[in-house]
Amino acid sequence: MGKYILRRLGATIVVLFFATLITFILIRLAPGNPALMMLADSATPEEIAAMEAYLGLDKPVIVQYLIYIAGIFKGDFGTSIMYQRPCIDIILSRLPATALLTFAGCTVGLLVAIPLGVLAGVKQGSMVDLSAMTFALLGQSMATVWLAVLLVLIFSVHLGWLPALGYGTFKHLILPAITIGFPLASQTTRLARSGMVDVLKEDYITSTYAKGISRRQVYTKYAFKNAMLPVITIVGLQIAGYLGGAVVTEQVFSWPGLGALMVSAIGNRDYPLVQSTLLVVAVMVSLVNLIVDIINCLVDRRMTLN
Amino acid sequence: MKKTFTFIALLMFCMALFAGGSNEQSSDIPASVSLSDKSEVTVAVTQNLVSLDVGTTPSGASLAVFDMIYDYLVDSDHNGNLMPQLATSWEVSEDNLTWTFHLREGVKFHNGEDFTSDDVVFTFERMQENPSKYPLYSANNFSLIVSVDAIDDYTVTFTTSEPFGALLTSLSGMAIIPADTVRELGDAFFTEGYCYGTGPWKFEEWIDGQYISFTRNDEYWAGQTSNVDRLVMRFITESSSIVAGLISGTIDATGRVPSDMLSQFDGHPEIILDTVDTSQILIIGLQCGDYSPFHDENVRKAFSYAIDRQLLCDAIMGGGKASNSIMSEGTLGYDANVKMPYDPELAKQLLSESDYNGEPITLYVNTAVVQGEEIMLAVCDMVNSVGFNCNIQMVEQAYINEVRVSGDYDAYVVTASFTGGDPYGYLNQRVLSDSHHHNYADPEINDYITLSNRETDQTQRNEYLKSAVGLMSEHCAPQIALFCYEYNTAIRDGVEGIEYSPEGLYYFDDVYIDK
Repeated sequence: MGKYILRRLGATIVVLFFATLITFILIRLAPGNPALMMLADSATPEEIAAMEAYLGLDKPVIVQYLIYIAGIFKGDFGTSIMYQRPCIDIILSRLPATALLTFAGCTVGLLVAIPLGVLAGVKQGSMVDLSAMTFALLGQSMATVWLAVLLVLIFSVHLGWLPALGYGTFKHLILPAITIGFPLASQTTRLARSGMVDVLKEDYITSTYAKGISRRQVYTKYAFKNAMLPVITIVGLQIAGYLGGAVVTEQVFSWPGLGALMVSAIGNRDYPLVQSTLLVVAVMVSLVNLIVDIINCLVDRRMTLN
Repeated sequence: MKKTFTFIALLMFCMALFAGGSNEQSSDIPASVSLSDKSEVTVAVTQNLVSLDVGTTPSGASLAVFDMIYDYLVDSDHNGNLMPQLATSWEVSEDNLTWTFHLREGVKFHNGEDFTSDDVVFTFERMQENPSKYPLYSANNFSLIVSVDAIDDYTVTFTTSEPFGALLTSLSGMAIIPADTVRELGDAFFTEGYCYGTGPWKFEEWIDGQYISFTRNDEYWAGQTSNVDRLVMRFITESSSIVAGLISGTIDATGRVPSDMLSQFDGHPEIILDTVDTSQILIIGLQCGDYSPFHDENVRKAFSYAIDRQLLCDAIMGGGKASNSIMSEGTLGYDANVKMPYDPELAKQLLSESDYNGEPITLYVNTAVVQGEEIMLAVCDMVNSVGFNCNIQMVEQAYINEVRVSGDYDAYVVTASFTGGDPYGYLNQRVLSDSHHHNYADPEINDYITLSNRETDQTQRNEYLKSAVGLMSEHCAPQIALFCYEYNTAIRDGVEGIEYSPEGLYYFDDVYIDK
């Protein structure tokens, strides 16, 4: 497994190289000039040229890219044009909020989805199944922004139980985590249910019944882990997505995460900050994918890391 | 395997709990919102703060923050009137090139150091040494200042390369920083949280993307009137979140409630709603080059006369004041006698007398314009009904900036405001220097602007500016205005002293609680 992990990490470096290249090109293809965003909109051509020189934008694009890559190897991710501070400091100040929201949201989602999905799969066609599928349909149909505002209206405005916005305490985390967790729960409930239904039809399950093993043991010991394989993959992808920032949720709850930072950086054409944030996100997504693959192999011995 | 899953689930839950409880802040929900035992006020600002450096591009958030921490040589009432602050008086030489400022004695920075002329000299020299690094330098036209010299501890002279009629207005936007400390710490003074000035509030903490907090400066030289111990400025861009924060008690005041959300406050008498007329104005910049239909004055006039400005205010904005020129009431250069009629019949006639043959015209609308899409769709409808063929394209500020530099546009739509109520920078760059490439040059208008630049008497300047602006309205070039915004403010009953300026900005330095 050690060799596999090393090989995957090697491949990750190639992925990250392309991520830097694509980000670098795309942000420059977008119309707009960071120097103009920095200056008052009445700036003269001379002032614009001076600002471009100060930001290093007067150099050929390839030189700018090489300077950027050389900086990364030295641990220098560049200086944000907007903030005039090292990009990595800004990203690291936002990263805990994003990581916290991601893990809290996924925890909420999984704690609801797995028991509900498994139960619905086991009791196929029952009222439990019907309720679980209604829940799943509802969750997947609901727009995040609508859900977020609804939660704020109920729990903050009318009941006054939880803060409407902000970051810092456990109470602040609850509503954003539910907003992230609810759609994830509905999607995962369906997967867990269908996984359970499929696995319970397998021959090896029939043979376990024939051996006289109790239903409870069949579900928990033989069916559950195989039913969870698609769930692990999808949850892994969702975590990777949320680590890139849950823009809408962050916006509604005034949550200081990477998503809001990235939107603001793109709008202001803050090239260094956009590039660095996306690189950090790419690193996290690659690592999460690697972890998901390893977990999949641990769960399903038929799969091999090679 | 079941144990593995249980372990992972528990681990994630514990991480969430641990991280959630590790950074305790003060802004929790109150059981009931009572001002009698409150010593802290939280206000919502709709922009994020990105820097504490006084040389950065002025934004609503930064101006609100700087006003708390720092003082200025000259203070503005935001209506074009200037008052002494750190300078007690000033005079200008006969050639209008040398200004002498007499500084206030006995003023101390928050760390106890005395404020002297060295601080004023350093504040400007810091920017002059590297003007590209400080956008405020170009924004406030400090390039016209040749030198700043300390005559003694409490006298400073500013020498300008040419008569600079708006110097005082520009100075009212330049916060004075402590020379010794900033010399020693450099930019770390701003980036590492050392910020202090001579202002009425002391900087406490800035958490990027969340809030900045201040504590009251009880030793403020002008006397402290606030009874609030701590003021928190939260940066919240989502209007519905601000409304929810006000109702639930997390926020005490805001200056930007969209009119369609006002009904949310029904049944909440503790939130006092009000409106503020601002000088923030919605402007359409017209391309007057010969490659655009707006090259023809008849087309420009037809476009302007076809717009029912008051209807836009009443039907879409739920308030606001129709504009007669690009200057708003309370701004130097505003003239109530200028007329900008709504006359669709005249617009049709003017269009029929022009060379315009229904060529498509695209209006680039900044996405940051409040209700910009609704407004401009209505404008398109109005002008198309008299014979135009207009459509809109919603674009980011970055896109607008780029097309303005290239001149590759027919029209763009942005909001504008005039810092300190003085249009000096605006008219010089947009009209005299044509930095947005409208390709419009009227010698008479330019002469009036040049005269206003050289005039140091504010009353006479106002007359020159009125003449320039009047001619711009008459020729509908290079920009026309639609209306001035009216902002809805929402403040918790008992929170007093918050000033929402005509520029559409917020000032919280005089906040107090009426217990």
